[in-house]
Amino acid sequence: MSNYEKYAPLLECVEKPGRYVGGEYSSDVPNPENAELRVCFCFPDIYEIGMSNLGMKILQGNFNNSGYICCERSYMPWPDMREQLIKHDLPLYALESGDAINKFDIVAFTLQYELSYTNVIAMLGLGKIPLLSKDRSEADPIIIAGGPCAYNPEPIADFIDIFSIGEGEEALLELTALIRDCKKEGISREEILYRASQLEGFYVPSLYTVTYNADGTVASFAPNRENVPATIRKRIIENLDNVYFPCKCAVPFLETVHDRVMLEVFRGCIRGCRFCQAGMIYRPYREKSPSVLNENARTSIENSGYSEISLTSLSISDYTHLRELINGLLEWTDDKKVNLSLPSMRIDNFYEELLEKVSSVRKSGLTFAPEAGTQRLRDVINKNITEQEIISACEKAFDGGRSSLKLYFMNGLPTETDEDIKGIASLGQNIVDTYYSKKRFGGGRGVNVTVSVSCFVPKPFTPFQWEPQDSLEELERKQALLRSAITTKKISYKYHDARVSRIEAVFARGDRKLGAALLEAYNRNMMLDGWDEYFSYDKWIDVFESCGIDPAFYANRRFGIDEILPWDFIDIGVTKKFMKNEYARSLKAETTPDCRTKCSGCGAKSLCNGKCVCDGGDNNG
Amino acid sequence: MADIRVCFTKLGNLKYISHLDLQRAIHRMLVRSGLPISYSEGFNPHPRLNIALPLSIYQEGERELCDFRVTEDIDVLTIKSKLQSAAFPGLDIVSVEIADRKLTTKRAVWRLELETDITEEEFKTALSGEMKVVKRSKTGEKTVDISPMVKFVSCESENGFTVLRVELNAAGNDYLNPSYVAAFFGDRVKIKRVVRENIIF
Repeated sequence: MSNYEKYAPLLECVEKPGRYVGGEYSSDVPNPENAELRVCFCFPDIYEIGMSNLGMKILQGNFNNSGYICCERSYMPWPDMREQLIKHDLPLYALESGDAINKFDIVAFTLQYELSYTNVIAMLGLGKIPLLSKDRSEADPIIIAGGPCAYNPEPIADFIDIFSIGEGEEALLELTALIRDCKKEGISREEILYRASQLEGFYVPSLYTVTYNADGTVASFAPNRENVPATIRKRIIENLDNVYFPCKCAVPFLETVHDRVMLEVFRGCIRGCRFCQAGMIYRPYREKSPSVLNENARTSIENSGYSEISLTSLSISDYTHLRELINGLLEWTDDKKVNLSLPSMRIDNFYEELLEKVSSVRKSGLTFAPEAGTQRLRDVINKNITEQEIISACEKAFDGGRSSLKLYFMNGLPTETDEDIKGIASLGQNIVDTYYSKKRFGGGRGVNVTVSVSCFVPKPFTPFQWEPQDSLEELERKQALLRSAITTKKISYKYHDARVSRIEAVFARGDRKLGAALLEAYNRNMMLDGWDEYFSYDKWIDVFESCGIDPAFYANRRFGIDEILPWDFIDIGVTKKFMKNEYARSLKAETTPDCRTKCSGCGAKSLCNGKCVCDGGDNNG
Repeated sequence: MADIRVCFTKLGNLKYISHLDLQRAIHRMLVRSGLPISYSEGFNPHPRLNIALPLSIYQEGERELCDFRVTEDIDVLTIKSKLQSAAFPGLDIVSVEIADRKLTTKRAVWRLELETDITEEEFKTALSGEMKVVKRSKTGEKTVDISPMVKFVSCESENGFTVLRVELNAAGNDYLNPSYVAAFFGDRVKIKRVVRENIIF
């Protein structure tokens, strides 16, 4: 705690100083003095966001469970705290010990969102760590990064020493063991990086050289040292029942975004929506067994004092043992006044019984994601649901006493026409009409349907990875069109800022040339781009201009089907052939069945020794 | 069924935690303790908990008070050990007793650790005379004499700091924040630490 004294004058000048002091219940870590390796896990957004991230809890706990690592946390400071750190010339520090992050052996970042890249760089800068990998010396920490955005690591490759591709529980402990041993033997940083490249699932950008064609596309991507693998295969955990899960996590004082027990029910998704990156990169589908989940949930509640459990997986109603799991949880959650919440339900196999059950303690919000307004477009994106299914699911929700629900859609999807946009409004209207088709007792306020529309961002490792994003003007025109098509006050219309989505699209499909733009943005004090009050589209356009980068090249260009994609060297198990095939089918509005109904041969089962959900098993034994 | 009164500390880094956040943390501590806590009725049930006199952010407390209700008879030592095992750093359970009367607070003893050139005699004199300060409230600013709410207790020197102890009114509707006492001396005092040592009820 003594390390904190020097920060006391800073903490008296900032909003919510609780963000910067740790000390939460069960936030204790092994004694750093006895640890062979010190890791600082950095979340490149503020405390309230970072403390809501299950992946970070898993990996921090997994490190601290190893017996030789002390892993602490650090979060992106809000600008008031950043200003104080700079003014007092004090480095960014880890919450548990108060030690500067540059004193650690490893500094690890999780990349959840393209617009947090500037925060990664800002945190390195505040931590007094050289920003660029090539400028770091023996005394500097090794900077590693992982998470969903690491599947296209190229835009941020200049700043990171080692990327971890895929699930980290096993892979990262191989890396930490390697680094520990190398540090003991006094092996050089360069050699450590090389040895890391020999482990499966790790990408060391400095060991690869990229060349470009005159038009800016990638001409070649190859290792620049012998024995460095040409492709990097992602790592997965085969059996989720046996892998570490954190049942005793730090319980924050501040109200965080997801302030509850999060229970990961399965990984992957059987659906194959063609815009969805998570649905592809987390394949194959693997379930945890209900008994293990029930035990995890119970222990987590007892250890935390939380009053809510959220089942967090991609399409929760696809879980084979959902009924058994929920019944098992309800045996004790009611008594303990614990609420269950089920985020992002798929509509098709939604059922009334479940709806009644999850509302038995406290009512939580209902959200559905039809994603597109017409059947044709839903077929294009492979969202295998019909309007009738959507309406009947909403009807059941209304019959169950609900009077408000939220629907997610996307604008700018490939092949989208104005008819598809108007279809969103008429679907919303049909749902409102469904509510009023019967006499209901909704408390007199009537129905409220929230239509929330985001902008399509083409993502690497999806069948739409080649597709352009609509231009900014077109996205904004479509947003306005939808606004005018909605004629009832019973529908609340919300939409994302298209300018934010455009910058996201630039980095999502970016290559290494964007490193210069990130550095320039850092030099112009740009950060917290995920926050409306700090995001500036015009500043980004200026940055791109000054670096000679055309944002449209990344965001609004149709990539050539045979072009070398900047992320082609990463092997997610799902083949490029499958992606191309799915892309072709989408343009013909042909759907592909889910993995349980019929295997579409995506290739991901090779990661699980050929065992997959498509064989009838759910892969949890 | 019994009303339980707990005396606890809010020390160290807990000074950076606001009252609302502390309240939520104590809720969770009660749930973790496994004690049979009485919950509020209604839509969003939560443990019935009454914390006396919120501390401002940056203030610490050595003998804070809160009441809650248990639905079964349990001896206070068991309650104390169960609460302590569910507590978080900075919050220690000082004592637990059955509440035999309503928690009506009257005065509080504060320890102000200051950097100042003001002597004990000066403090004593000043605190017994008129003390006009500008008080802010929802209705605006006004100048009031806080001296009827202030009682000098002691003034000592400790590790280079001046430790001023005062007893201030601390009833629900008649509460004086010690920051006003410091404000009365303006630039001549620099506050290093503010600790509520005791609540008189």
